[in-house]
Amino acid sequence: MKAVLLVGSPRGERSTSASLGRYLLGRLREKGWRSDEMFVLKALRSAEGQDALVAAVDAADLVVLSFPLYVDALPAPVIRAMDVIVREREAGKRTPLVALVNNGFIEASQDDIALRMCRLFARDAGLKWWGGLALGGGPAVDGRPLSEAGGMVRNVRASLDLAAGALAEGRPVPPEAVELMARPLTPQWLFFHLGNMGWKQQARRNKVRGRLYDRPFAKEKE
Amino acid sequence: MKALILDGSEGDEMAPLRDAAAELLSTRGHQVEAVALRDKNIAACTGCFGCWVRTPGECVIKDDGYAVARSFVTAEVLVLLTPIVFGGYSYQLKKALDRSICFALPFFQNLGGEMHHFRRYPDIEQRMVAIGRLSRPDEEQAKVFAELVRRNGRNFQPRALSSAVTLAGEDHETAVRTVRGALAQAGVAE
Repeated sequence: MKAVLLVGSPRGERSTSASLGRYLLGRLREKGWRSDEMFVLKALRSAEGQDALVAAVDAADLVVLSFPLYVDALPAPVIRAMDVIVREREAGKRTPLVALVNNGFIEASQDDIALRMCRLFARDAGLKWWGGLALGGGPAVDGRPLSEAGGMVRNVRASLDLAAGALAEGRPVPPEAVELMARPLTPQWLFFHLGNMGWKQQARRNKVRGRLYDRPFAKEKE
Repeated sequence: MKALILDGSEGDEMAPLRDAAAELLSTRGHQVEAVALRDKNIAACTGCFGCWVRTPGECVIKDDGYAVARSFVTAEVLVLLTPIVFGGYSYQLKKALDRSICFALPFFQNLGGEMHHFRRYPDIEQRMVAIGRLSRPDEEQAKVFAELVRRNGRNFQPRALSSAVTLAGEDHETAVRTVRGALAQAGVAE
């Protein structure tokens, strides 16, 4: 059996989307599965890449789509990739689709609409919707391998362990995995604090700490 | 008063709605800019957060997305037109919207119990209208679209927000009625 991971983050290899998907595929490999991975943005750059994307979906026994939440929904390149897959894929094989969504807030519930969109994609592409895992607090992973991301993400690993067990046995993502993934990684106040501090540190490194509130288009408005 | 219409179609299928919106807004005294996004060179957001921590308020990619962002911020009325794709916006429209995070500050606030970013331009009042077009009746897609627009409203925080769904093949009068209704709901036209 073969699973393909489609990484929908423009950050590619360094993304939290890749970390989550690779961990899940690693667990499946331990259960005897083969795996492949593709980066959506890279695949969309050429006709050959798009063909390879569709071929990878056609050849898979399980499709795992992992992406970050952009403006409450799928990043634009993921929408384009879905368009291509719906248009080009071979009809007939109802391959299961699982989605992993991560966002930069603390509430996993902010991923809900993106998951509903994935379900609609599965319907239109003739794939079988096997559920999604929604993560809030994606920056806690920050593109690191999950095994190196510390205790804060223990529920994330546990969720993916459970999901891998079910998927390997031919079952959809279980509700327990959904619940574990959705548990807040920290209290909201702490995530606020860590996040705000992180932005300031990055701005300081780039020597723009005093310009964080800049309003470059405000003058044109006046 | 400026009004910006962003047309997210790949072809000319949104033209009746775009023309109807432009006409209604013009008769209300708005200075209308209609942008067919498919004709613009707008790269996908790379998720680098440079618009927050390298060049605050401006995307580091200097393509047509820059001018669209400028028009977006300075318009009093925003009209988003899109074929509905998997319940959401088209690739063309989403590419432009993904580049809009420069309108937010990186810092967080709690809105109704949920985390959101502070607005960079909280003093600029906007009215936002999103109109989606379905190629065939599809209740689930229509529901997801309405929910998405509502959720976008929490982030963009416009003064007024409305959404509407149209069907392919509708005639000009229906298009005008739909646009007028959506604009009226957002307090733009009666």
